[in-house]
Amino acid sequence: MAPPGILNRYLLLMAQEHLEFRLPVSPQYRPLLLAGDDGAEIKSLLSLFGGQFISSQETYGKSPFWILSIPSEDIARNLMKRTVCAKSIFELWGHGKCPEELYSSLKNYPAEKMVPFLHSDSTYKIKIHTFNKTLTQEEKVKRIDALEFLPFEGKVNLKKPQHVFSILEDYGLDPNHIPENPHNIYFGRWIADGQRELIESYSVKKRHFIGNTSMDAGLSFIMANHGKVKKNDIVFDPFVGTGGLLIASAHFGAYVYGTDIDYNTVHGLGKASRKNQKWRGPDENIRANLRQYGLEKYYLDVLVSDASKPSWRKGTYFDAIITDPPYGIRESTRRTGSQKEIPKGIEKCPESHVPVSLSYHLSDMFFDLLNFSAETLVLGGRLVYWLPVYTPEYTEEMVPWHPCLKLISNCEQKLSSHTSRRLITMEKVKEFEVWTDRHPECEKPMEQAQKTAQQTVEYSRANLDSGCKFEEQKILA
Amino acid sequence: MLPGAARDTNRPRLQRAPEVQKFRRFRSSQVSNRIERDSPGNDVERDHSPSGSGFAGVGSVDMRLLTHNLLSSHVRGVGPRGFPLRLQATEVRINPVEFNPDFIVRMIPKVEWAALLEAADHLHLIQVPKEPIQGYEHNEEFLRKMHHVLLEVEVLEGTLQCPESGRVFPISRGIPNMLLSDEETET
Repeated sequence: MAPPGILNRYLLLMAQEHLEFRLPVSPQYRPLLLAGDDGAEIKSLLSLFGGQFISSQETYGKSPFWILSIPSEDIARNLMKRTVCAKSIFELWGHGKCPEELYSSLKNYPAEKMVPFLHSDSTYKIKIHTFNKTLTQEEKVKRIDALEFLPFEGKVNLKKPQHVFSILEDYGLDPNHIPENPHNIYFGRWIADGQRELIESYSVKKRHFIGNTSMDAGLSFIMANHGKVKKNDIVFDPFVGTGGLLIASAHFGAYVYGTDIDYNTVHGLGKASRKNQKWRGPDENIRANLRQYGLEKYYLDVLVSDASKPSWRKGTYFDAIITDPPYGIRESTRRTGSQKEIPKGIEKCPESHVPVSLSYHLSDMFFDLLNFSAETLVLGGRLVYWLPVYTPEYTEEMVPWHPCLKLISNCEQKLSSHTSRRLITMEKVKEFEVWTDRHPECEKPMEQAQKTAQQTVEYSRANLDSGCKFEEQKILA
Repeated sequence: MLPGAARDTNRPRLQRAPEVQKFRRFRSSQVSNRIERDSPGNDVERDHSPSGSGFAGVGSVDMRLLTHNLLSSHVRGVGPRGFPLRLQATEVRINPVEFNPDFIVRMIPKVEWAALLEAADHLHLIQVPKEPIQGYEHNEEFLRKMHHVLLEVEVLEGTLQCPESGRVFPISRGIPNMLLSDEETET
């Protein structure tokens, strides 16, 4: 056990679909790019579990290998129970730019830290993991043999070893220029794998109730992690749609609320989003979705409500607000209004009055979302949402701002040559102050955010055939 | 139902109409009786036999009292007097939810007690704690009662009424509709 204050080094292997570089870019792989970008997910999770992200990492560019300095293996395990961006974590025993450097580094690793895992009645195996190169069996055996100097006393067991050790070799990121020798070699004891399989098991393809814009499962989990969602939290999505973001939060043990202005969606009525299916079935709704994954107990309620006119009482009761506001690219941005004419969008509303939607001014939408979050989040609670940007004009000053909310991270997901969307994470750092008039300092970002979002929408609409195929990932299941 | 409601959207409902209608007729005759009757001997609580709750249908969703406790009227000019909304129910069911004491402990300080008691009274619920008791964090009996009233009592059909303006928000198939027209809202 390390004395308090001393940090252990761990090697984090990030998921980086290297397929990205070889195959046509499919939307499924996009989230992973985002994940690798700046470690926002890992940072959020470490802050949730009491660790700290040390930024003086020995990482380069977009390498999948990250060295983390954290106080305990428990934190490492907790991290891996949540992350969908990292594949595995190892206790780092040695690291070098060439085999000799690795070996001398391993010889310097304190023996008392190795021995508990190498004693004679234990079983083990050694695995080799290469990035951007494939080794022959012969080469692999050679590398394992070279580790003879380590005091391995246990028996090799390839099927069910007690301890797994890994040699990880990094041959860079360029598949067209694979170097003869690796840039970096690591050796460590495997501790745990991440939650990559959630991306498959929660895939929207197999989900009961979906819409045209259902959020990719991987991104939903990343958003919940950015929001530091934890057990017994209440998480709210004001633009809930078919509830994909709620599913991710419920998976982590949070209770969920949602609202949507669309009566048909909330009630699970109307046209189906699935190919080969015309209408939604009788039990296509958010609660049934949660039930599908055994998460029904986390369902609190879903309301038909206009996010610009929230009907929640004063108070702080949401631990996180995680949402994907509609920007009008695939689903139109709507709010209730007073026009006499009834648009086609809301046809079935059996109540006495038929609300009519007007286009929701985007800067108002950001203002409402931030203000509402500042008011109803608990202190330390987080707002996580997507901001579409027109890349040629984007600057950081365009991110909407609120005096009670601190910007935690801002990650880009490229959508086309000129557009992207940014995952914005903010934390409530100050008690809510009544803020009926907008501060002049925040007025500009709101308007700029609106402008860039508007440009994104226009660009996307104009280029729907070419650049924006990504947006049309209609679910074909 | 709106006379002009587009035919298109009616079509999918027709396909499943027989089942749904049967379900509803049965439910409403059974439940509305017991709720509307005001005699103390006819508490909703007591009437909820397993057959009653088991009949709720796979696809149904319902509003809970925890939600009622967090909602307020947002009709223009009403302000804080829009809370609590007056709850009327024509269909209620008790739906067992896994007991999670830690979550209930977290919710207790957030509950507006007077509003909860009023709503519970409208539904003729019995055994609702009158206030948070000392040391409730470790009092399982108290927490179970709160769990029941906050999460297990579900309103399928009914209304929420703004106490100030009288505006009625319908709850249908368990989902409150809080939409307002522009004239009705705060600017």
